[in-house]
Amino acid sequence: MRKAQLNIGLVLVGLVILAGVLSLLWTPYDPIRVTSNRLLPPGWPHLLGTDGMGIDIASRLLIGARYCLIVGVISVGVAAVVGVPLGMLAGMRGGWLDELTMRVADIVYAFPALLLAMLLAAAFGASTGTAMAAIGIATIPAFARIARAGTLQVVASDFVLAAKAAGTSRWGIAARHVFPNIAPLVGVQASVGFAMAILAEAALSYLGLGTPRPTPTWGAMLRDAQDVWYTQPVQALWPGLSIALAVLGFNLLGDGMRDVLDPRLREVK
Amino acid sequence: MALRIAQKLGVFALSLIGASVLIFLITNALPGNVAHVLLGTDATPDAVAELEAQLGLDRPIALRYLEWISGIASGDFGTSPLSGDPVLALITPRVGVTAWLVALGICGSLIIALPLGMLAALKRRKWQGLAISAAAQFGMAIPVFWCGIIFALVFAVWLRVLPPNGYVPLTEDPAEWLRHLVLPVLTLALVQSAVLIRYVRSAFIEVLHEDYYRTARAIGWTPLRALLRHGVRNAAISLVTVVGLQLSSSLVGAIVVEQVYNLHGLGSLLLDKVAERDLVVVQGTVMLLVLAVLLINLLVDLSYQLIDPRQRGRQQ
Amino acid sequence: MTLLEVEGLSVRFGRRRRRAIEDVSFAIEPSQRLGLIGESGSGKTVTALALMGLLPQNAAVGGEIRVNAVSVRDLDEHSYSRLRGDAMSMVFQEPMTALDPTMRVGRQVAEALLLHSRHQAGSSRKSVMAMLERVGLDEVGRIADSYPHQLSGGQRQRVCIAMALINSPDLVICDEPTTALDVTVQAKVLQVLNEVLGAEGAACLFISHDLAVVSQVCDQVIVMLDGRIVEAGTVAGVFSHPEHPYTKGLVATARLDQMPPGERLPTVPDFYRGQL
Repeated sequence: MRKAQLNIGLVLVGLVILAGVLSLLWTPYDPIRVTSNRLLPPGWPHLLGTDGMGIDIASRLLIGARYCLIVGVISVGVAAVVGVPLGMLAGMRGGWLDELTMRVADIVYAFPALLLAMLLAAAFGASTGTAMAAIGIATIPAFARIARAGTLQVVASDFVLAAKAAGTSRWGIAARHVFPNIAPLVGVQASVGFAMAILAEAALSYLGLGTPRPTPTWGAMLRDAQDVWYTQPVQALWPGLSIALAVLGFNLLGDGMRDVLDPRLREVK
Repeated sequence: MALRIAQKLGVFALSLIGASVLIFLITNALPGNVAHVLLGTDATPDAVAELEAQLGLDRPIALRYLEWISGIASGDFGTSPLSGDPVLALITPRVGVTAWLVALGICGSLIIALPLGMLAALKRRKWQGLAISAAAQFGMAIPVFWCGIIFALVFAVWLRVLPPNGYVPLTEDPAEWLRHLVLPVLTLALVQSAVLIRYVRSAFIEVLHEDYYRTARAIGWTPLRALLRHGVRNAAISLVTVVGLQLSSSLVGAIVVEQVYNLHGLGSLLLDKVAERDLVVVQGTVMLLVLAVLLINLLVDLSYQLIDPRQRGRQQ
Repeated sequence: MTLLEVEGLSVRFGRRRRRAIEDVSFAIEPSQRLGLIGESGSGKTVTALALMGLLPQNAAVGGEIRVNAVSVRDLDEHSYSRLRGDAMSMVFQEPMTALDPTMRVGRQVAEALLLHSRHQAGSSRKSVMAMLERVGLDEVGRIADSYPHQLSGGQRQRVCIAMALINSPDLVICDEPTTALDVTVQAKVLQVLNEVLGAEGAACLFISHDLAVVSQVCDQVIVMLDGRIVEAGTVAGVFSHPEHPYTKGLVATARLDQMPPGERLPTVPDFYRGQL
């Protein structure tokens, strides 16, 4: 059961990565060249049909996978790089620094990524960059909290006390004991955070607050599909399904890792 | 007790100040400020400087922040430099839709998630529990706007039983109001409930492992009745904070759902003004939304004290 | 008629079918007090929960349990629930967590009463107060209106005893009811339990690891080791002439104050190691 979760997650995530990498090398058709084959239904040679500008939908989906991965990797990466050290510092130092970090984290946490994205888009103009920044900043508190909670546990353990007694420096303890022990937690958070980043990116590009056209993102494709839902309702299916499966994949991967890593969750009783 | 409430009020005030600073910094301290937006990218530096002086933008940022925040405190959220409308006048007619959407959406998600989450906990080793958990896992992956598009396709385009978009105020025609809100609220509630089910399930599983649940069973309650009688209030204590978080994600969901069903609420106002790059309106509206989220979180936090007798302090 | 008959009871847990208890058989006559002794992990609590039908869902139960000649193993959840708290009730080990923290204790006791009778809510209060007095609580009005966190451990355990006895059950299962309490409180709670059980004429399965406590409450005793019953008899007989090496060890280690100076203190495993 648990292994199944992890495996399905791995397969789905693998498919998204495969699609994204494939799109760098090859797509069935040019994803941005307008043609006269408008709104073809699914069939041959356009497997999933064409959109309102006569562009092959399958090609656009592949490119969309790439953008969802890019936004996910960068925003989650930034959030982890900022959030984890902050959380570790707060957990190891304690006191007012801890209090301050967690209060700020709470404030940012109450601030939805979408509102942040709107502020940034209003100030700079919407772009992939503002979307990634908004998602990244909004995800920092989650990493900081996880890292802090893990750090507090590790710092209280006997082997850290022993290391301290042996005169290991703060940095040494952080690098040799704290980080390796909280890394699995961070990994789980990264996977779950990735799923949330994909959802947020899709919502932002659906609202026109993310990557601008003509770059095909899954969210923007759904917005286009909505314009033709009377004639070609099936077009709303593919991008939505892609988002859902990608998010499901990262969520299952995260949950699966957590179950494998955390024996306490197993109901032995 | 009084100390605890004062503490919560203090955190609320600090959060409010922190959030307002964040909002103000993003819209003001960074390049691309109001003058640039008004004059376009090819404006001469002299023209920009002149307009900045005219709008008072050349004064220190701290001073402008204080002006802005004291304006908000007295109910003045600023005036759009583009259209000349006061921000509050733009917001007022739009609040209704969004507020209804968020409120009904949260109620709907609770109505869906509480019984299902409880059932998933009770039957967690049986097929019913596994099915609910799996459904929640899938539901969490579904983007709210996709769900909305599919509902609109099915109920409005194919079955033609409900309108695909638009909004009628409650005061105008209650029946039409309801008809227009059914799909947006259902969309929001369903997607929100997926996350909520997982929280409800784990809160009730925790209760199932508690000694007092076993005591309730030992005096003769059946599993379901014991959970209803002694589990709900205890689970509510751990769920209160989650519902607070649900609030901000419901607000985000509402903004997106407004776009799907073409409802003219705060979300569509924000999107329009972001497209026009009307920074004053965007900053004022976002501030108002953050204020609402923090305020409701505060109320939720305080109600937590009422549910849990241990928080009320000893009687003697 | 025998009140409780247990025949070949076994309990296994989880998919691996880890054995918790095996082939446990005993009987309790009306008003009889039976002690169940064993160290932690020997299967005492599992036996008690199996009798009450309160084992977790991943437990597989085998064997036969009859209450008043009716097999409870055949009962559906609803009928079994009607038995619990009425014909048979239970007092748990940990009074600090056994009560619902969000409900006044008076209501919790009243709930136990109202579940099994046609009492009106108004007249139930009188019965609840009377029961709280009988378990030796003072100021019962104030206690009834308190939340569990406002009471001490001893007070809470008395409330639990009141809950277990308010419907005059035939059988009360007490799972280490005094272990979590201070020594001085232990004696008082034990005395109260003795009195109320006597007054109600209720039979009792009294689980403990403490020989002294069992000998105060019970007339018969069974000894469990590693999920099996290894010895049974009257309290006096088993304690004066223990036959199984494990029981010998239990009895000997209970009298450490009588050891001659200069000798190493014995431990229970000294007595049965290598003899099983």
